[in-house]
Amino acid sequence: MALLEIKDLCVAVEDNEILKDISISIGKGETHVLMGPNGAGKSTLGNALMGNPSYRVTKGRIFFNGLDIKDESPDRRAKAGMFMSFQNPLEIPGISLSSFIRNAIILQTGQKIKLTEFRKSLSDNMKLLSFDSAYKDRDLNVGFSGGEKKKAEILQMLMLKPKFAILDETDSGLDVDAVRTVSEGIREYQKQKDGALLIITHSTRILDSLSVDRTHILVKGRIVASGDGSLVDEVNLNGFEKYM
Amino acid sequence: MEKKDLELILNSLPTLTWNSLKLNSTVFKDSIDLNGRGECIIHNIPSGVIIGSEGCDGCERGRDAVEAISGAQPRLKPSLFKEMKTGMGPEAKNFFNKYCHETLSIRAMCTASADKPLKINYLPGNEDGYVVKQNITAEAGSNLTVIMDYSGRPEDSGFFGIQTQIFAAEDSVVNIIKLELLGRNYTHFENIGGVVGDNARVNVIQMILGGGKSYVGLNMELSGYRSSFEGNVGYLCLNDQKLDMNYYMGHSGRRSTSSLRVEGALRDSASKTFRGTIDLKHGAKGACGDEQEGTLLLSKDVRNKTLPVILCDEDDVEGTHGASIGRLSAELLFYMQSRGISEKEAELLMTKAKINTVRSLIKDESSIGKVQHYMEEAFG
Amino acid sequence: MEKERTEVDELDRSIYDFRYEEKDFYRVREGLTEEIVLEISKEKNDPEWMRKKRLEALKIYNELKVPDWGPDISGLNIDDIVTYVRPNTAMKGSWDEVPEDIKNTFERLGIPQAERKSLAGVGAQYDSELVYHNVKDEVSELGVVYTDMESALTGEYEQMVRDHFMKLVPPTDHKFAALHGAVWSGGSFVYVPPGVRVDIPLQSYFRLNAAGAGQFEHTLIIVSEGAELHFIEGCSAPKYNVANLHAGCVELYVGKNAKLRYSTIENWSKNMYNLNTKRAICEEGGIIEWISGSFGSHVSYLYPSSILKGDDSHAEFTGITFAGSGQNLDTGAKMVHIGKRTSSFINTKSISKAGGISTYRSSVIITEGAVDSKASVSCASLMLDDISRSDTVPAMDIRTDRADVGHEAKIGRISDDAVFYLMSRGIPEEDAKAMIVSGFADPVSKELPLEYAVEMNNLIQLEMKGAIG
Repeated sequence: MALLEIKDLCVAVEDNEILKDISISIGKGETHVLMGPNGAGKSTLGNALMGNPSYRVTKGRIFFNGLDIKDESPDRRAKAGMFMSFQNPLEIPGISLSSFIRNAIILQTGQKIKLTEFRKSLSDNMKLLSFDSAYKDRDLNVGFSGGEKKKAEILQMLMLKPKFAILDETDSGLDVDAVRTVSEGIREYQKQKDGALLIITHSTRILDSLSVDRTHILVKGRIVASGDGSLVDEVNLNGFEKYM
Repeated sequence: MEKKDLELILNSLPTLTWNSLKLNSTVFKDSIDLNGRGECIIHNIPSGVIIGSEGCDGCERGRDAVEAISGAQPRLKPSLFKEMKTGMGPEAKNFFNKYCHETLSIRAMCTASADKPLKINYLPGNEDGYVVKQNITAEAGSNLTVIMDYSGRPEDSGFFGIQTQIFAAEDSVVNIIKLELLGRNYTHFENIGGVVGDNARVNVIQMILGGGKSYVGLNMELSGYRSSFEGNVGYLCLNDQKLDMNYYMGHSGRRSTSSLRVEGALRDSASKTFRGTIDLKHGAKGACGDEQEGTLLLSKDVRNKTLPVILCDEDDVEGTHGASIGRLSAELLFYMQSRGISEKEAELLMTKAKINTVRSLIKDESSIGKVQHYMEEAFG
Repeated sequence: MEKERTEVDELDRSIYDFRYEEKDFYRVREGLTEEIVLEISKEKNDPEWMRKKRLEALKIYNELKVPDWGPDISGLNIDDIVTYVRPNTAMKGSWDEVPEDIKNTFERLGIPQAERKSLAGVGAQYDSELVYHNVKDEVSELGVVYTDMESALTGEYEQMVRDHFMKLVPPTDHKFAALHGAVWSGGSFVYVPPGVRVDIPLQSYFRLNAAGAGQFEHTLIIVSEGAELHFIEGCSAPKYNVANLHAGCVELYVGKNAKLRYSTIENWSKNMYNLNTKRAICEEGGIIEWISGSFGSHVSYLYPSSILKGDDSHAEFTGITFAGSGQNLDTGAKMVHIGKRTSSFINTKSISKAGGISTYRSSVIITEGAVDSKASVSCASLMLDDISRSDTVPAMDIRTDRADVGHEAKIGRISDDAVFYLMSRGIPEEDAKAMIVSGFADPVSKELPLEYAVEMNNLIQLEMKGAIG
């Protein structure tokens, strides 16, 4: 049984249908890449999977771990083991990065965690991401640069240990070094947690050092091609023209 | 002592608008027992700070305000505190003059430095009615931090009124931190006035967490060149709490600056009124005033009124205000939920976050602990 | 510089300041008594119910107090105001029949040209009465009614008028609404039948020519379910040394899923007390859009209000106020959210110069039942010198948690850097500043029909030329 099974999914924003009949199946520990030109509906898929109420599923079903989650609230999906790294992470004044993560872990698992254990794990993961440890006490995303916000998202992924993570344009707006450290974090997630991934991107930089199992090309709300990791290289070489 | 029947007009706006909005002022009508019970504990007096305590008589003639400080703008004159305007308005000031049980005069000499804060605990007990005043003088170049709290058990009722008047002479820095942690059935008057001299700074942090009915006013006159005021207010209104606020920042000094931030949450059937006025007076060239308000609404029966006023009689100035009032935004809620935090949990987290944005400005450990404790008690 | 300023000032007023003798005009005595109200009622051949309404309003007027919160209006003495002046002509449906001097007035203001070019219909009021009213055939064929209020009172729409007249703005609303109720005259009645969309605007132009007079026109617009209309009003008057008064009343009924845009360019002369009341009510899914430019008047109290009664109804207010020497303009908007998922936007700009006072005043009320409503208020003020004044007084009253209210306000002056930048491109300071002010006003002017946007821009340019030496 696949970990995530998307069947004939149609998604609308307000009254516009953005995604049409999307079917993707992602197995445990697999890394899928969703590529496509701007405006193809890539982020819509991520938001719909995570249950953003602004995105309305008009048709189709989403199974996670065999359960239909289409009508579940986002927090229930997260508790079930889903995660999304936001394209534009929100700023939350008054809650520090570390206390946010700690709260999320406690609320997701319903269990207290040992402070020392938490601190150690947080500090290890921040180190891995070359993330200045001073940021753990700063208000979440407030005054963070674009790169720091993305690192904070990946840090949350590593700390929350989801079974499946959607990375929505995590590489956009990052410089070469930042892309490298973020990829490092993603690789760590693949390796350590045996986590499945759906990487949404319109460029391929972030994929350079990652192993990819499946690639899907999304154009105008439809999946026009799917293939293995080599499709990434193909797109890299020829772009999306032939699919449009 | 017998109960006093009081009818006072409080928190009047410096300008008027439609009467039907009922924002121009607030009428306070109640019968209260001003028995004078209550305790004031002063500790941690820093070097260079002189404290005088008096009974209620002769407050205005007190020795605190007798001598002039040379060079300060405006000059400190004997009648300064008597003439000083306060945020709750003249009727409130009369009330304090008439019923005050205790006046503290606090004077920071130029040798005073900020190494440690002066701490004052007011302990009005259950069913007490306690009225106090503070006249604070910061001499030229001095640095003074006063942390005060008014605490009681959550179930306590009674009345506590405090009037704090501040004169900050040139180049002085005055930090006032007020923690209102009164019982849930307390009526509270918080009447603040201040005059800020050349290059002087007055910073006020207020945590308004307790009390049943709270009336809060602040009037800060930025008279000096480059004088500045920064106010940070965090509040929490639960159950049927009422909070009525009136803040006024008067800019007459050139290049004076003021910034006021008010953050809080309303839950159950709580109601809050916020009035905030930036007055950029003629001649205040280069002055700059900013006011920001964030209100989180958590229950359907809450009531929030907001009136942020800018009065501007000068061109070379900047005045801004912003307000954001409502429940958690859909985006923020989705973000929190995507991390496994439910809507209810997110609301609680964000309420604490609002309070934290102001609390984090307090550097004093024991004060932070008190706020923390009170918050935990409030949310069970 | 000094010389040009004088010239420009003269040029400015000459557009609006010409005036004609009141020949053979009928006018009532100054002041406000029952006798005068009855005389007006008789002159106008009111139906009985209207005569009663006037007398009731007069009673209310005498009971109500002058507002204690706005600009000073002590210079206005109702005993000196002539409340009714009738030009010596009946209402015409053909431009040629309008008397020469009145026709000249409107032609100089560009009224018939605009009609020919871009309007579906035009009404022109001179002092207390409409002198001209015309609707394009293709518009009346759709069943659209556009007529003067007097005809509407006695014609086939009498019952409709009776059901709506001063129901939205009752005489008890405030003292000047009561005054209006007692002595109103002129104005327009518009009815758009269900589903009819009027693509080009209708326009009324109000001209107050008589010295020491008041204009009290009543505009009643009913846009039925699914219908659409754009209505434009323009106002001007020559300058006199005595106080003139304008206390008009606008009542707009926006039906289910209907849409109404109401645009105003007000350029009363600077001896005018403009105490006008405008209000709209929206049914389910209805949309009201206000575009408002306030340039003239000595004193203005003007806060178009929108009552969002129906679920999913929406209101927008876009306004600009320009207060120059001797002017105290208190303007803004009111929004009342009643229906679910209602939304409102207020976006205003104000400019103060040469001792002028502008006050932005607003109220946004989200009532208990208006769940999932949104409101946003954004106001910016520009101070052009240090002898002027600009105040901002925006109130918000929120009675439900399921609301999202945002507010931002800003007061400041023209940025020196911006002026320097433009000057570095060879633009003289005066023009640079005028350009910046025009840019500041752009969000409003771009909402206006082209002719009006041009007129507004001209007004700004002229005001600016005089402002900076």
